[in-house]
Amino acid sequence: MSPTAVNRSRVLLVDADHRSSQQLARLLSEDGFDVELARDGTTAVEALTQPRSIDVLVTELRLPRLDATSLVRFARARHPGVMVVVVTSFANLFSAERFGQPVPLMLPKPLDYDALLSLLRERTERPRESARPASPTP
Amino acid sequence: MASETRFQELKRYVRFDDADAGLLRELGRVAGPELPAIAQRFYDRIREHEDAHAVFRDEAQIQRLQRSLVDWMKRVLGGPYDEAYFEQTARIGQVHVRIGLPQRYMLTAMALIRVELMRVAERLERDVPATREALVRVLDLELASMLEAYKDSFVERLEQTRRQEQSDHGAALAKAEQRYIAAVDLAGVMIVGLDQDCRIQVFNREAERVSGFARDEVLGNGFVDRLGLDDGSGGVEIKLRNLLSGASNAETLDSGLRTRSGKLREVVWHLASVGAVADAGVSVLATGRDVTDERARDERSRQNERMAAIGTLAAGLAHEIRNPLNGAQLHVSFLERAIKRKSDQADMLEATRIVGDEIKRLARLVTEFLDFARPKPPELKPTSLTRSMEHACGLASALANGHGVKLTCDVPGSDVTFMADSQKLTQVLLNLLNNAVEAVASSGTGGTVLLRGRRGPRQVFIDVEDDGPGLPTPDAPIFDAFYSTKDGGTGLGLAITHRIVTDHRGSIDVSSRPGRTCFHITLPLEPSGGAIP
Repeated sequence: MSPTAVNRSRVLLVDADHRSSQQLARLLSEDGFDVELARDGTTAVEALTQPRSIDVLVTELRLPRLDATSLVRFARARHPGVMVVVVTSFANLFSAERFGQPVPLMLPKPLDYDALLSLLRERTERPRESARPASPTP
Repeated sequence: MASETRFQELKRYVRFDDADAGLLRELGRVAGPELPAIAQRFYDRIREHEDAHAVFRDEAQIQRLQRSLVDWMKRVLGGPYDEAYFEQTARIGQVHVRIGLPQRYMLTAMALIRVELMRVAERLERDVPATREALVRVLDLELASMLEAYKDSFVERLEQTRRQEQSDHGAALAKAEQRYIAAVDLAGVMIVGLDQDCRIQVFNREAERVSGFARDEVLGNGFVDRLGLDDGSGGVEIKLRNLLSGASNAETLDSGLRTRSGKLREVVWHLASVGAVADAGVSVLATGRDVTDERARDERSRQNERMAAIGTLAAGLAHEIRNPLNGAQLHVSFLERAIKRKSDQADMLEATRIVGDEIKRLARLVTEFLDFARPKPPELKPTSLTRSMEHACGLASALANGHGVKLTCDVPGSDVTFMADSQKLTQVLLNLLNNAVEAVASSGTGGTVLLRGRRGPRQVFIDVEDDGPGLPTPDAPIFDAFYSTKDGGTGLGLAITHRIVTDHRGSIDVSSRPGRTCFHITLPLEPSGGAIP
């Protein structure tokens, strides 16, 4: 079931709620992703400056030390074509448009893991095409 | 002497006779050539005098008058001194009056003429004293006749002035009265005058407007009873009694008023004892201001402030709740997966699934609460009433079919397009339809739900009607947040519905009895000024 190591997509999870992130990382790695964790914006930026590539950035909207829009902008400059998923408990108050094109996916908390997983699978099968505008979440 | 005219009487009085007439004719013959010169000198003199001169219009007029003076002198010296002569003189007097020649100048001018003609008489070869006397007599006759014109005019003017004053006075009174009537009638406050028995004697237009009663419907009726005044503590009568007995001069009263159509308005009254300035009919003057809308506005603005505060709190709280829920959910997902790997753990899997469902329910509550407490303002776009209704019915039909409830969509004869947020409108209709279906289904006898849409002059009316058991109590606070009679209901559905409707500047109310419950929504075609922020 798990793909071979060379094919594994790399996900950067950014959320101050570390315990939840760890659980999410555990599930994702079981499902074939390489996951890296960051608890705040600056740690995330550090991870993004490493030479290894990042395929997916999953970030909370509200972060300590750096706001998510800046983080997304940095990630996209550094890793063109990176897939961005914004997870937030403020889904009804923020518009995804402010993150610029392509409009990232917005998923409300509590996260529906299966929904996230199918999205990630759909997009990371052909990672370089994930740069096209995201369709709205169901 | 009854047949004697005024002129004959005057002639008799000054003893003017035919001899005088003969002497004057002789004088006229001698003076004839000099008369133009005399007239010239006369008018030269008048020109020298400012006030006397002021009565003349221009030089041409003076020339004309000069010629008239010559004619006049010829007539005075020639006669015949009959009634026609007298009338002529009277006419000249009237001309003097008409051009505004003051009497003093007429008299003194006559002195000038007299002197001139005396000088001519002095040069006569005979009858000089008798001619002088005749001249004095005829000129005084002239003066007396001309002065009559002044007298007649004066009397007439007096009468005219009196008439004018009378009519002016009447007009002024009428005008003053009119002004007061207009002031009372057009005042932006209710003005109600009461007699000793508190019966309505004055009822102005604003009072008509607020109460819905026409003046003739209330005049003579009891103030308190007719207008259904009630301050909730029976204070109305006490205050009126205080005023009528002189125990107080003024009172303020905050009371409900029952309009002609039975609606309740809130009116703040100032009641004043008319006291010393009382006219026969009015003992107490009540001025009232309808504060219903004002208070509703204040209440709405207070409500908005409260909601804004709650919204801010809710947003923060939602974040704080969703994060732990997120953690819990992820752990549940993990647990589920771990349990699935082992066989024979169906009950554990079920328990885990229930925890997951409960987490989702909590999350939904948070979402709904945030929707209610801090909604996005409606995005108003031209919206089809028919399409919105059919869309909502389509969404509700699954639930209705599931419960065996008949759902009818009664759209208007011709479609109405109005400004609304169609998504939120659908949410409202769906919410009400689902509630209705569930209410009807709870009675377990099938039943029907009807969605009806109609157009008003400046609004649309939407009714959601069901034949279910009705609300538990008629005044249940169904639109309040967290009021729910359903198992598993968040108690926010109707609160959100209410909020969306009022955000559209519309209104929603409900009438309910067993067997018929109707939610009635009124939405403006054009919510002027946009949504309430």
